[in-house]
Amino acid sequence: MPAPVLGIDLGTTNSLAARVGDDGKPHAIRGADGEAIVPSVVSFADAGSVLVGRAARRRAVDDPTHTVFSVKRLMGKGIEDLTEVERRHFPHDLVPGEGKQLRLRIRGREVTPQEVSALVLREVVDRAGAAIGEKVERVVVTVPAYFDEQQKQATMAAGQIAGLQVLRLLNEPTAASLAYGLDGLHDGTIAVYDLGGGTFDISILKIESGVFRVLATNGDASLGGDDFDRAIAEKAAAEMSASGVAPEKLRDPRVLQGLRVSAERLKIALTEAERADLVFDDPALGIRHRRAWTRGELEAAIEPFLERTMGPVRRALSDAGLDAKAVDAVVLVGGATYVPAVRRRVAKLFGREPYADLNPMEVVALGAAVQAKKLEGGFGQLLLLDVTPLSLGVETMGGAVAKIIPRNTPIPARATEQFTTFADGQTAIDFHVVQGERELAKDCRSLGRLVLRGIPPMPAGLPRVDVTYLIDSDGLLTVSAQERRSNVAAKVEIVPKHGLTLEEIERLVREAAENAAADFQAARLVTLRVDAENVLHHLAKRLADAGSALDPELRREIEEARDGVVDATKGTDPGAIDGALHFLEDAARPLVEWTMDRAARQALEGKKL
Amino acid sequence: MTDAASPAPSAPSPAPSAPFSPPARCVRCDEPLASPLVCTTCRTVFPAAAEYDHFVRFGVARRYDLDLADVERRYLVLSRGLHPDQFAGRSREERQLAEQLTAHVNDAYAILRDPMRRAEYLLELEGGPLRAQEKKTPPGFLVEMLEANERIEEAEGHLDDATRAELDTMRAGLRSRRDAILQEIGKAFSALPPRPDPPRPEPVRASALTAIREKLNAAAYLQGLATQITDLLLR
Repeated sequence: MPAPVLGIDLGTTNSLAARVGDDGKPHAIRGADGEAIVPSVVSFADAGSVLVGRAARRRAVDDPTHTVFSVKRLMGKGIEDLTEVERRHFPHDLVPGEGKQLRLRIRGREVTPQEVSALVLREVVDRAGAAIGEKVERVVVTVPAYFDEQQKQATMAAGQIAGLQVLRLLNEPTAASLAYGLDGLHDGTIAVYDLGGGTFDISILKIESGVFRVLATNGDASLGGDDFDRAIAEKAAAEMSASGVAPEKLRDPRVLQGLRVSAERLKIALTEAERADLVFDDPALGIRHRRAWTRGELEAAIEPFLERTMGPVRRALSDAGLDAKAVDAVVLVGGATYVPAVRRRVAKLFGREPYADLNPMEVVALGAAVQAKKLEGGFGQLLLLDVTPLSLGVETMGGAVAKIIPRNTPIPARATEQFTTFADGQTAIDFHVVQGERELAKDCRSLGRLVLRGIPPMPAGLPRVDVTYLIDSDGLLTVSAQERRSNVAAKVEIVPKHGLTLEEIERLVREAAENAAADFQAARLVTLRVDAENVLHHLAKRLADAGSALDPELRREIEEARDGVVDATKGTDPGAIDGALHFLEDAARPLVEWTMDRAARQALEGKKL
Repeated sequence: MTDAASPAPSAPSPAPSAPFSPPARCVRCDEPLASPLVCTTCRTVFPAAAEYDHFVRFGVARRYDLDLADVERRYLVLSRGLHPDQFAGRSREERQLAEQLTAHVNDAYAILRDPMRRAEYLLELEGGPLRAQEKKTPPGFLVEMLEANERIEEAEGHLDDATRAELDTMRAGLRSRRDAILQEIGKAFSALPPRPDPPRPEPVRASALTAIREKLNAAAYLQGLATQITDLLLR
């Protein structure tokens, strides 16, 4: 029997895999450490080794320029597509690539976001494969519904580079609806509000005896919980600057990254508590910042982002021809929907409390697993009918756009439009393929050009050119053109302006294969052991310093976690070391915070003297 | 020379498909067929001739007035039978065919369920003039629209609650006007003389088609204004 097809949620901040078990239900696949989630972080350590996931995230603050976060925001984009704020978020050299897909320059090497995503995918698949004891080759990968053609193509390329067969790109909110409605108890009209780390989707669906039909979808492909963290971090930086911290220190990548991590902690703390401290210390730069935030302050800082999600929600409802009150249930997806202000906003708009029985972090992967099973021949009664989120058109004379496939058309979709020549004797027509809702081509996303040549010379207006747009089940576009009188034809798979050419993808696939998995694992093992050694060394020092002041119960817990790391480093399973380190990190956190506090107190007291 | 694409003003409309009566039963399992595209009983896909029009694909009579609940029901039946996801484990060719036919079915559904697009499509099938060929609207229509146009333009500057309420009312008016015209179009389609066979010039039919064209242009205009208001209100 072939290995199962896995469902994978390739997220901006976190990724995970799931599959349908023998009980007919989808389950997240947990590694040896009990964790399903792999942080979507890649760190290019020295000596050519690469860390992915939790181990990479641990390096983010100490080595920000070689550690890549939120790479999903860069997929399928050129440098000019990034906002100023987004550009600041990446402490790396961003270089405009050849095909216009921007690249990151790290340790003198240029890497594409597709390669970085491929490393995350590979890690997720390897971990899951080890956990279920199968060699996984086929996957369903989720993408934000509102990703454009180029971003979806880039995700497909990442799968190929990772050496995987991507059976389907599945829209994230649609996947979530599958997990929600699988039990057959939730027929009706639902809204899926999906606010992830870096993307926002809203989909309106109708679920009816096993048929999941998307009525409308909308969103914002650069909006998410990341933005909350950044807004908090920027406010904290402004306060630090006002209290005398030199601006150049605040621009240090290490500080930017550290502040972001502190901001994220604050955000999480304030989902439960009404007040929490934002703490940021960098002893090397002499920065020490601690301030109590109220939940109200946090909500004021993130308010503009909440407001930005409302427009797409209203447009989706309008396209579905529905009033907000006509929706039977609202399903929340994505880590950012844990924030109480988000839930309140959604509840207010729809006039009902959102459905909260699903784990917003896992529901997308679970739905992807359901679709994976479907593509293996399971779930005969279940059927998913999805739509294309953005209109596709062609530029006409004067720079206007003729829509060929309107947004929210069910996929797979095809449409043909007729065109003719403008001048007598014209032998070629240039079709500029665009995506988006704006009236002028220059305001839409340019996807590429298709030139039909060799039209026999005829008077203007006589040739009859059929331009056919075809969107497949993955939501990807092919455009062809044919002159009917002469049967001259041209066909292009749109190579996105910001994408990778087929040759580039092939080269990257080759390179990835050459960096054989075994080498990769070996390098990872070495790096993790070095990591562990470092951590143990520092811990021993801290434990000794704390002496009898440390609570004996806490000391016992830390020592147990420490022994776990020592044991794991004797083995050869990188995942086990990674897990044990993570566990130790959690156990030792109170001690670390306490020693840092004490050091700071002593420093302050010293000053007073 | 190369030039940006321009819409075909004089492109002839496609040859009409002969009214199609689908084979009543599946050639393989002899069960009744709901559509000539697929047998939903034994899941045999029939490579459809390119000339099938959307009405044939859905197995409904070629006419403007359709029972939309019936169209939706047929869409779901066809999707269950034809969607490529239903062909797990079948040959690559079969899956590709399913994908292709589903794209046609989706296109058909989008057109048949939308009164404007359905009218446009039916007019083209009946050999009527394309919008690019005949841009006229019924006499007096555009003058009547002047006020609405001005009001929308003014509203763009100050979208306060009162203006929003006014726009909302105006949009309802435009829509009901559009629906009234679409009803007239429906009547005109059912009164249309049959297409002459073999083809010969037939002035009565031609002028009836042109009249439908003009009405449809007006309906499209009203729809455009309503959409403009929707965009404003969603701002």
